[in-house]
Amino acid sequence: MLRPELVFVGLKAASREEALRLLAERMLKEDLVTPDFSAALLEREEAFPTGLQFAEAALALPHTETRYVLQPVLAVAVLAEPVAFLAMGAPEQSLSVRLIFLPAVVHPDEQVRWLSRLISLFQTPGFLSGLLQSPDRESLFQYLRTALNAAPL
Amino acid sequence: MPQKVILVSCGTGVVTAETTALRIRKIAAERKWPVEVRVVEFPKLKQAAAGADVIVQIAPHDAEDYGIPKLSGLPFLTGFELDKTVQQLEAILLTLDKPKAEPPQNGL
Repeated sequence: MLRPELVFVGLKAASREEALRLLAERMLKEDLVTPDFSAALLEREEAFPTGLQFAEAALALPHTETRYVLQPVLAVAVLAEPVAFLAMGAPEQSLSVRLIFLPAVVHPDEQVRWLSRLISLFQTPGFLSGLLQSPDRESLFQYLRTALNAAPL
Repeated sequence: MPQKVILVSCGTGVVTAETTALRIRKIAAERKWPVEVRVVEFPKLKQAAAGADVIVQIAPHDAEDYGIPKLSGLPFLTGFELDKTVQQLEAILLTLDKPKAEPPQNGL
């Protein structure tokens, strides 16, 4: 699910829209999504915000329908500066987010197992703060890959 | 208890709902709840609620009355207050088991 070219450290974005657009453009360039993925992703984020507050950090889990996805992938970005995401289930609440996990799913029943592993990691003490400290793309990629393989369902 | 149907709903029924459903199935298996967990897209929730016993809703958390109990699914994603939510869900499943009062009989 992970690809080095879709893992970003110190990504510069002035808003959540810009951050999502940058990630979606890169996914399009790699032929992983359809051309309208970006618009669908942005639209869904406004309708159903995906900010989640964990003890160590807030993160966003943006996603959209399977019909815009050609190949399953998880894009991950650590932003240089936080942007505002609204909270899932509580859109009146704004969260300051530096971590974006963007799962592009084709078959939810097949990909739900690593999604569940990812959620387990979010709840694992030290995981999110470790992620925020990754100095570069390669170390972030290795950190994520090792953690995901070891995480319980 | 007889088998109950838990609906898990989010905006598109893809990522968060599927993940939450997997986690509820796991907890249900551990606690031996006889339940079927179904994922439903938010726009189809009202229709699906007619054949279900409880709704676990992630987002949007609307104020609509679906005629069956409703819980927030966020704790299954964040782990925050998860124990409390599991207890609430178990309490709802047990309450559903109680025999309903006899309906009043007309004309007698």
